[in-house]
Amino acid sequence: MPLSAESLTKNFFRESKDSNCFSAVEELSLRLEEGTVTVLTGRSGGGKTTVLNMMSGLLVPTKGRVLLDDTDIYSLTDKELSKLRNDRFGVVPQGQTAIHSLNVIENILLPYAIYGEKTDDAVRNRADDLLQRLDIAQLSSAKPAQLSGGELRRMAIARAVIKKPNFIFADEPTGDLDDENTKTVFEFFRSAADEGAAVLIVTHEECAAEYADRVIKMASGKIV
Amino acid sequence: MKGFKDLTVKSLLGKPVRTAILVLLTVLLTLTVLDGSLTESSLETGIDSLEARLGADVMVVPYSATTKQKFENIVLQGSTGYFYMGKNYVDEISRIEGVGEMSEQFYLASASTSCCSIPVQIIGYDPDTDFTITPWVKKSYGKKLDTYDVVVGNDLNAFVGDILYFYGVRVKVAAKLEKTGTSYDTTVFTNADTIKELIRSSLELKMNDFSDVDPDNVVSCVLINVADGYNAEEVTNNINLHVKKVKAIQTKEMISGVSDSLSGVSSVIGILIGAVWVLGAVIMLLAFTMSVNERKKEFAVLRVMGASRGKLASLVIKEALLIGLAGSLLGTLTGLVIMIGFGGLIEQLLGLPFLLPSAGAVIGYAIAAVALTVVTGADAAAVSAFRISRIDTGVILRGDN
Amino acid sequence: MYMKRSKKALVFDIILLVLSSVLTIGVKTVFSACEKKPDGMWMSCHWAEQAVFALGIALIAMAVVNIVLNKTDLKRGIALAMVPTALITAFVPNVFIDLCMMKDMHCHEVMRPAVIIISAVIAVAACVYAIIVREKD
Repeated sequence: MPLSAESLTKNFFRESKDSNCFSAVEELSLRLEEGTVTVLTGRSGGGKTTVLNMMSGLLVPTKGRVLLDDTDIYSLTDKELSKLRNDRFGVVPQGQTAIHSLNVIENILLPYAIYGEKTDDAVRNRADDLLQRLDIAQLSSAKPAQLSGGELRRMAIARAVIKKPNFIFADEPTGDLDDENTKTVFEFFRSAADEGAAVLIVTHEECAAEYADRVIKMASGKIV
Repeated sequence: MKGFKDLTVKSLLGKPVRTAILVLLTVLLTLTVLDGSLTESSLETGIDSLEARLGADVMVVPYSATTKQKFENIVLQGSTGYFYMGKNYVDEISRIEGVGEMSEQFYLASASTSCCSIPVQIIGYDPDTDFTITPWVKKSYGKKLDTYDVVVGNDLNAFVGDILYFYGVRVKVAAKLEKTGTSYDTTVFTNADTIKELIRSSLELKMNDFSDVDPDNVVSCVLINVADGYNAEEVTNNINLHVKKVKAIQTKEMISGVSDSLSGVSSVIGILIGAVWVLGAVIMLLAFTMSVNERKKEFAVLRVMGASRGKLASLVIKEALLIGLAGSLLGTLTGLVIMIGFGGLIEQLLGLPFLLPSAGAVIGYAIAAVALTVVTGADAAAVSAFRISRIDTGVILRGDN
Repeated sequence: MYMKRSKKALVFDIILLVLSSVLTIGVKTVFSACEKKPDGMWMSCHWAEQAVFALGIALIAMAVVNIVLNKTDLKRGIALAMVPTALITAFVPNVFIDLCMMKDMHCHEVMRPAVIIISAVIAVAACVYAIIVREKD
């Protein structure tokens, strides 16, 4: 089941000479298909993150709809949308996003904890496997304060995919990583798509194209 | 990790200093509220108890006993002393218009007791006419007091069956009285016959302040209830006008001095409770606001992972509840230990009748104090909880780029 | 073999030493029994004060030994021995040794509750110590 954005528009309030209304995204339509990797590139301030936030249910669009199973996800109540995000969406946000009072493995299992779901052996094995694949297995019981930026980023990736979401959204997931780790991460997303997920990656990395089914370039809030 | 509960505990433990300060604050808040209100209620119970113990409308004592404040000090401050007036005054008083029930009392202070040098006040009463002490004694001793039997106040370190010696006279403790929170708690009570024996013995040993007293022909004090249709003021004035060398005192007036200082103490306590409460509420409000601001990004991340607005709010509230509960239980424990352990000291420092209310009432106050603290903490956190549930996830997550 | 000293144990050692010292010094100063009678004789509560003082010295000694010692099992044993010692101390005023006649006197109002409360806290702390301080810590 695809997730499709229909003529999404997002206006922000911003003090300016001409008009206080600033259009971050204008009339954008985008469809995320299962089993594919979509890469969104473009210059900074082009509205990429805004698109990602709107499609992942985090930012209410000014106009337009985001349809999943023929339902506009913004017509859901906050509770329903939250549960939907928890169950079917996995988001890797920009920047450092660790919960500092929890260690690495607890951070990764947090999506289960939010709704009090049990983490059985299968889940724990999956977590261990993810740590292994992202090369942070030895940090399992470390606290976020002891981790480097790149390690924290990989932890956030493991956390986003722990519940095997249908849709994965990654905002600059390789920002703090060296070339080798960048490759690992893109390969990781590729295999997630091969296992059936729809992946949307916002990135500046040129090499992302190698792993993508589709590369979309954005400028001034529009696809170019 | 079982869920949000763990996250609450862990985020509290993750900031041990902040958590400790907040817990300490709630301890202080509960302690002040509980001990403040218990002190206030103990003073009220104490004054009721004093009123009940005085139990008469008018008291008549020899005029000499009032010039040195002797009499009031014995009744209100728990100092010891004695004074006598001839029995003929009793007859004179009984003829005054408006005098109803009447009973004599006899005072003596022990010179030394079996263990300590501090003198004990001894009051003898006439069981046939008494209407103030008997109802109180009855609560702990059903039988009539025999000669050489005494009943002791609750604060005396003597127990039923103990043998005490006063001026060489051997007496037996027949009963121990209920606590009243007044000076009567350190008093020994006997019947008239016994105290006359004691006075006689003290005279023989030349240890009495008076040398020319005939125990059979004196009394120390006469308690009076006014007859129906008369008021105490009227009768008091009549006695003072018509009977020489005695002084009639309205008990209501004696207590009014105590009531005045009680209301003073009460308002100080009230202000203190109010101040600590406001301070506590403000500090908690600031602390929760700061703590939530500090973790704004973490809350946004939880939201990204699918936590609803309600979940975020409940996370903040739960932290506050946990702190409130831990602090208020600790505060209640400390507060009760202080009140029960050092109640006597508080009584002495205040110099007012002081009687802890019943166990049920104390538990009630404790529950109320815990509830007030927990609710205050939760309310302070609710402001932050509401704010955090309204955060714009997208904006916060973009913030640091 | 050198074993890393347990932090938990050290915290308890210090708490117990401080409490025992407060009890022992306090009973001679802040919460002492009543003063001498005017005729120079001590009242009975004085002997309770002396007994608490002696037991307090014993408690201090045990706490000091525990700070010096580095063997967990031995430390736990000594902590366990502090429990009855502290409980006996709590019962000294007015149960084992009579205090003064009137309860509004200093020995009843200050010494007794203070001794009971501090001794009880020592007993509880020593008990907790014996339970939670383990070799692996």
